[in-house]
Amino acid sequence: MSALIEARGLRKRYRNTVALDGISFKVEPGRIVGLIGPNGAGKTTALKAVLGLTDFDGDLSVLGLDPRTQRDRLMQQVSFIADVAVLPRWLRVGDAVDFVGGVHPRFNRARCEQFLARTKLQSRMKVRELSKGMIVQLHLALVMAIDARLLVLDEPTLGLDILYRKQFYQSLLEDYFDAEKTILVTTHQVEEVEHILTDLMFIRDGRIVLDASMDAIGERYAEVLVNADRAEAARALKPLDERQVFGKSIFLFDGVDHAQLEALGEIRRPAIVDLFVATMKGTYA
Amino acid sequence: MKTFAWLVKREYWERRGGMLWAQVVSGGVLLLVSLVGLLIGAVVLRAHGGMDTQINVGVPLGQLIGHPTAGQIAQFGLALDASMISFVGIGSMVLAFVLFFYLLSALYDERRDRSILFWKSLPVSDRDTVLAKVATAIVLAPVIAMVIALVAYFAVLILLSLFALLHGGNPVTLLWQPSHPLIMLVKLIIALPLNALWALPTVGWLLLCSAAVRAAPFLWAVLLPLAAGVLNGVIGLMGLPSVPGALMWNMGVLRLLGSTFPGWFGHLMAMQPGSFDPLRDGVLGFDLLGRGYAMPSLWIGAAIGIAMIAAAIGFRRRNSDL
Repeated sequence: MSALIEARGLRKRYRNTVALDGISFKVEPGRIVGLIGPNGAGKTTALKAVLGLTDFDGDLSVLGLDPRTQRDRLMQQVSFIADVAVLPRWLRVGDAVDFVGGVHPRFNRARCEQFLARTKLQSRMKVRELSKGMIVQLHLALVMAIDARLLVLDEPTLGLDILYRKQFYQSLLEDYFDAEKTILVTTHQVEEVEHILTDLMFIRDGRIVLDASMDAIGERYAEVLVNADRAEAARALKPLDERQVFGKSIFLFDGVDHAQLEALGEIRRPAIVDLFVATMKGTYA
Repeated sequence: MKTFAWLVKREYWERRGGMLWAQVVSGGVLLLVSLVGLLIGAVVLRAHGGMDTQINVGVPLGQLIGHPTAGQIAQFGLALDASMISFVGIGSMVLAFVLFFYLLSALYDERRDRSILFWKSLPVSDRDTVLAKVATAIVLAPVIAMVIALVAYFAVLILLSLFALLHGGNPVTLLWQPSHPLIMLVKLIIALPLNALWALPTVGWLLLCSAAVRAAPFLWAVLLPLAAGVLNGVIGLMGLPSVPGALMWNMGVLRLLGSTFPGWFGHLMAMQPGSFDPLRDGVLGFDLLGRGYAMPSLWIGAAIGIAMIAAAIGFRRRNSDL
């Protein structure tokens, strides 16, 4: 099967900045892809392009459709949660379910009600009466009841407490995701999505600086805990990053043979956060 | 079609206050005023026992129960028909204000509170979304307003009948036969599309401002036409070629800003002065309606309104942020 999303040379400039500087990437079906980058790197612009919410130059095919011209058809198969709390404040929970059920051919009402039954949401409540966490619960219940092939999440848990954040990703994994579905997510809370991602993309200054599966990342990058006496030898191998912990140094290596590293110290798979910080060094300088 | 019905329903949910309750309140006030009039009338009649009371609730109460002549009864009928129109008319005035602000925020508020991102996550086209707002403004809301105004009118008619009955009059011959509620209803229904066509320039202009501007849609919508009118006037004063003042203001500025008011009637009077005689033509005559539909300015305005609605659809497609 061909790629679900295929982008070639996407370019988008705003008045003073280049948001997308000719990026190309592919997303295969059945994956959970994290698009991670610092503020202003172009994440949201990339997602907007995929969702047909912005103009751009370049080639982009999402489910074989061009989001610029075939948006109405595309949205039958694509769902998104763009940011938290974008549900209109006057909407009642029950009306929201009725409305989405009325306009979306792939919406399963029973499923949505089943999700809502697990929350404290009542049909008569208005969005304005809900906490931020409850609004996201409602939005997620609506979206998870839609049998879409692609789900796009743009900072879906920003500003939520840890309980809601955990519950959010847990529901997605347990009740929604399967081999037929694909999720594209951006977030700053990298540590919370780390264990659910199958693929990782780093974006910086409108360019993709890393695009790999999590398995490939485990093979390519390594973090090594090195005693002070071996630190010079480790530095000779040109680490991406070095930090000090309890008198030892932790080095992050890219593409260095694991056998060679084992001689220096204990190897482990780097956390995405550390990889991110090392890759994005100097972004705001 | 099903999607479109849901879109209209969505508009109604959001604006129930203006579209339903504002009408219920204005209808209720009319009903209450009439009821108070009848009560005062009853008290005055009891105190003086005479028929010389000047109190008028649709019809003069003194005449109503004092063995009116055939001529007076015919006048009752005309007065009641006029009341029926004014009940609906007052509802339309209230609605005109509601619609002005509804249309001005219809495509702006969703960008300000970012809920547009939710609406755009559903398989609904921008065209249908905007057209649903148009349909809400020129079909659904006026029909709701008319139904509520008519309920209030018939409630007053029933109260008036009870009043006549209690004072020994026959409401059927005094009130129901001389007035023409069914014909008036037909005329009002014929007037609905006329009002809708008339409203299109304002509908289009306000939706366009609502979809296009990044801030302060009210100021843009109001000041731009006013400034154009003033500028045109200044150019005219300097002796340079300009649009004649009356044309600019009546056909331009006022049409853009004020057409949610069913002002075609006044417009027709201004265009064809002396052509209308309520005694000859009846209240809201068919002839008048026909001449309303035949106004070129109605159709030109509607075409311009539709063009602006199309532009608003284009803006909604492109702008999802402020």
